[in-house]
Amino acid sequence: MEGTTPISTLPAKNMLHPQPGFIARLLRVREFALIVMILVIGGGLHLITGRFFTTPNLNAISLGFATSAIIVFGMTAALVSGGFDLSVGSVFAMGGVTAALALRADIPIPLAMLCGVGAGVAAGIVNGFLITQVQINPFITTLGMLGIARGVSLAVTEGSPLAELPTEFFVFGQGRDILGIPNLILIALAVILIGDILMRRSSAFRQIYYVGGNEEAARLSGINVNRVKFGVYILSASLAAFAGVLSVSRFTVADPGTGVGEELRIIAACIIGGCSLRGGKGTVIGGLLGLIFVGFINNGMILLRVPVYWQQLSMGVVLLLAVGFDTLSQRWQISSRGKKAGPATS
Amino acid sequence: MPPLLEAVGITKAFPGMLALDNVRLDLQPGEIHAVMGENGAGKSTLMKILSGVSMADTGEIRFEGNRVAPTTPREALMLGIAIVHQELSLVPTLTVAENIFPGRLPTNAFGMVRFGQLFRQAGEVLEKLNVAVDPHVLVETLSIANQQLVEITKALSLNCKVLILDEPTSALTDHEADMLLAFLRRLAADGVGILYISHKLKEIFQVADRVTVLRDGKYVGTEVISETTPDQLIRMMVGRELGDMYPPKNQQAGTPLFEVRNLRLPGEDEFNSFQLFEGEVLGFAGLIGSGRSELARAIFGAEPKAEGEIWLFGKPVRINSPKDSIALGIGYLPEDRKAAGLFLEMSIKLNIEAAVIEAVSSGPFVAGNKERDLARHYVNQLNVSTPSIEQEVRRLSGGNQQKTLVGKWLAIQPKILIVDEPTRGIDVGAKKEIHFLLRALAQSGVGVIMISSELPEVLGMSDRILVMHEGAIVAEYNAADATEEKIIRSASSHKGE
Amino acid sequence: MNRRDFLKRSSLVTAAGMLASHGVSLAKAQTDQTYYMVAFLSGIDYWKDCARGMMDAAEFLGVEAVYTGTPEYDITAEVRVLEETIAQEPDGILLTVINPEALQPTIDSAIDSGLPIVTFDADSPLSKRYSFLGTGNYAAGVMGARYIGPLLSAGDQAAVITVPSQGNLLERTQGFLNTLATEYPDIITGDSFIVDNQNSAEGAAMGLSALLQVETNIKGVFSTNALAAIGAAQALRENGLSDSVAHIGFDYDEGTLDLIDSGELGATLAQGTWQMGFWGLMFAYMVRNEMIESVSDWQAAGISPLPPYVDTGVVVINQSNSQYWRSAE
Repeated sequence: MEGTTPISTLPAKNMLHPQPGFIARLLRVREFALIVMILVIGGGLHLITGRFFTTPNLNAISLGFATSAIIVFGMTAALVSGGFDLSVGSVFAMGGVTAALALRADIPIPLAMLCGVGAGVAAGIVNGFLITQVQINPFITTLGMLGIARGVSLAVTEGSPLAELPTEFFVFGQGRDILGIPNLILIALAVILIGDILMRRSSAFRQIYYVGGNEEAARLSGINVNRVKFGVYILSASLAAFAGVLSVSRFTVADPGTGVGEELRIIAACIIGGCSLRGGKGTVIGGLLGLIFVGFINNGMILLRVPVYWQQLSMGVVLLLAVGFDTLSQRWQISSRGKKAGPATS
Repeated sequence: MPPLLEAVGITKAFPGMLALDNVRLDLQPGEIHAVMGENGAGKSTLMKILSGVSMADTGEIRFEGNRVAPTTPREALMLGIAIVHQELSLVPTLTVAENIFPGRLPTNAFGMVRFGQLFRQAGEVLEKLNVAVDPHVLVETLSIANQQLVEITKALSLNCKVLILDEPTSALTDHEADMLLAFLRRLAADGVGILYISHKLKEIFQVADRVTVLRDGKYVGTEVISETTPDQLIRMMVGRELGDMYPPKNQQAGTPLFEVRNLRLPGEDEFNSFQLFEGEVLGFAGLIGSGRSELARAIFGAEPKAEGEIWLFGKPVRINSPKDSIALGIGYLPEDRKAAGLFLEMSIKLNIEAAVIEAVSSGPFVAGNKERDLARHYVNQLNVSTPSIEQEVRRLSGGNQQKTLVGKWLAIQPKILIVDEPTRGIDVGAKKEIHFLLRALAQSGVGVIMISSELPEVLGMSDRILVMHEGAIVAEYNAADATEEKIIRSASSHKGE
Repeated sequence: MNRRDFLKRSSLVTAAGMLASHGVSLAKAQTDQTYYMVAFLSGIDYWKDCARGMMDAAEFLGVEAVYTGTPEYDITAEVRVLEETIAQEPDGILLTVINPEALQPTIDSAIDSGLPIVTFDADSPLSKRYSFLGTGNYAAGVMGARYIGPLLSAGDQAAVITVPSQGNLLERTQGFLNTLATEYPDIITGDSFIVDNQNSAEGAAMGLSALLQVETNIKGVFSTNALAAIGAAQALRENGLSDSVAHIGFDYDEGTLDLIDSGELGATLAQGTWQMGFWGLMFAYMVRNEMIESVSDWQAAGISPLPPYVDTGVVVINQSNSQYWRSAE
């Protein structure tokens, strides 16, 4: 409405609290705090063991979570939309198995990889359909797909891993074509960067934040909520399948039993990185930082020779500490804004 | 006789602001004492201090002449001071009886609840207070009004002597509000002192004995109701003359801008038709449940319609979803701004652009400069007070939240704007701003449909008024002919009576 | 192989060890060397004796040994741990392989860079690892058949509880079935008598119980791993068949030993897990400290410095000797 004169007749007022300083705001940025923690852990481990910041060690750590990083993009989208995808671990296996079957049937490599991703697309379509049309909640839907995709992988392979794949296929997972950096890491990096840019700046992906922030308000703002959700679940499953294909390319064998528990690890990484389980919040970079954080801790346990029996305990404790710290600090922020949180409701 | 409750010299500061500055208040037994003030005046903070939720930095509280300083709500309750908040604190899935005695359920030697005794005790309390609610039913089955009564019963079952109520009638119909006020009068007659926070001048003049006004954390004054006027109270609250709450109206222009023909909702029998003329504000009045919001949502495409046509600028248009409406330039400001209108945890900027993401994008990507320009434009135009457009909307006051929401709909360059309860739950100053804004919109050629349950607002703003009752439009009045009485009568009766 | 061959072999190896400690000088031994054992499912009971063997050898040699791995059954996890361990520049690695193809590239590149790797219990046969110490699974199955066979009469049925997709268990199953077929042809068995225990005791119990309803003349059961044995014993107990059905299991965790002592399990086949750890470290140490002089320069000659395959064998545990496998605590 150009040219309309300002309406108000009253002086500006009713601000509840002043804007905090720059440093304070920076500290509150979730990713910044994570980066600091990661550097502290890395630095500490290097000081103690002297072996942390070596190329083979860092390589091992990065390759360890490269495929997970690809899945993080899709899971972030799912979490931001207010849902989540529990089926990614099984779809990861199913994608790899599908590609392997295609390769053994002498289908050309690019097409075989597409078949693998296609398995993910199919799973995502089923998930999206059940969630948006039949309106089963995402927890139950993707839990069901977790079982179905796993079952399909096991049934089709009769439980045994598939090997005897063409060696040209392994270039994605094993090659080091640019500056000696493993191709797999470069691919994962590319996916993360593209994913982060899309989530932050693409108008289409922006809708995911609205849907997760307030689904009804999003609908009334003209956003096609069902289409957004459908897209999110297709994205998540496709990326999981793609990661599975790359994993096969790395290990030269498609194991139908792989990826068990992967969905929980990825959700944990995303949450450590700032995603809210209620939706509307989260970044892809944050999820990557969560993976790095967990990867450093896992590595630290090897370097520090933590007995294996304590490893899973340590992981659980770390996750609770990281998220608990964040929850408490958010509550502290809100309450230090002043008990005037009351009037904000009227 | 000493006052039942007295607060003197109360000061409370938060980082960066002074919420209460040397405020005082006194309450006599058996008195209904209203507390008024704009948003941010300090009313809620003061009530929280009195009821033990917060503590004052300085000052004294005296209860029945004795100095007290409750540090927790429980301590205040022990003293006999109970507060009923705006958001009810009942558990909807439990029974009324369990909600009246939370934490005090009668148990046997094994720690098991004795339900027989529970229901009996609950029944006794309810009867004593003349509340006609069955203690066995689940709270979620009750109307909001009855839930409120249960909440009050819970407070009173502790034999409190001071009852603090925060906007108790905001979610009630006029009839239910009247019942509540009558209930309060009975309580007062029994000697309970009642502190009553409200924006509604009419109610205050109906039921209160005295009123205290706060402004910007300071105590302005206390008046006896019978010796003051609404204008004087407004002046005290706002610090200056507000003048007319409602801007001067329009003469009706000739051409129908927008027309609804034979709209029928699925599962209903009524057909509704009406026209909207250029330059006019069309008011929709009616009781809660009369179907106005449902009609609006069906027009906007948020709900499916069974039959009906919509005409814009003399041509029929297809609306099957909110997206279609927005593309045509029709906007809808929903009744419940928090549940359906705003993205509370997102910034003002993101809220304002929510319906027009393509307009702030270059190609597939959102353009940062366009976003910021759009948001700043409306924040300035609507005078939303915030230090930054990145501020999270949930931290704004009600009035500023509503203005942000209006900004979002202005951003679509609307031809028609439907607003549903546009000034609910916001303070007097902001109300006036919104009224003037709506009128200015209408004058600039936008058709404005305003649904409101506040009769003074409907009468003050509308050029024409349509009254709905049980899903049908039953009456139409011109501004000149309309009176409150006529509207209420139409709203309560069936077509043709 | 049978008992006699096994004892012969182990005594030979023991003699070699004694020779090594006296004959070949330990002058080149370094006391600041560290060797790692990398396992998958690192938390399970089975690897304990492997680790104990390694630790005993480390004490004897005066080096440090570390037990590590991933608690998960996941290729990505084991590869990650292996690579991170290699990055620590250890003096040697004892590795049990979750998947032969998947681990091969990592093993090969480590060998190429001069790190001695031996595998144990589960192998990556096409990789460049210097030696594999493990159980001859087929021979173990043969042993199982020769235990069960004599206890059954003509026309009786024999069942196998196993994980059909797991390679080593498949070999045991085949050894068992083939031996019964050739040496005890009157016993009825075959693929239809194979029960999939899905890698859990509960699965074994459910599966065998179901089979018992259908095949009513089962008189012998061969369980190819510890969980299968526990579950199968449970199923037999619940069907009241503990006394009338001969049952031989595999491995010797405390639960299995308890079943033997109580008589519910007739016998179990114990793998040479301690041997795997002990001799595995001895092998790695010898290579690392350049004590292998089988030929003048084995590396240039392109051969493995170590025996490529060592069968650590199985022995039969029954009530009379079960006490010796109880752990010291």
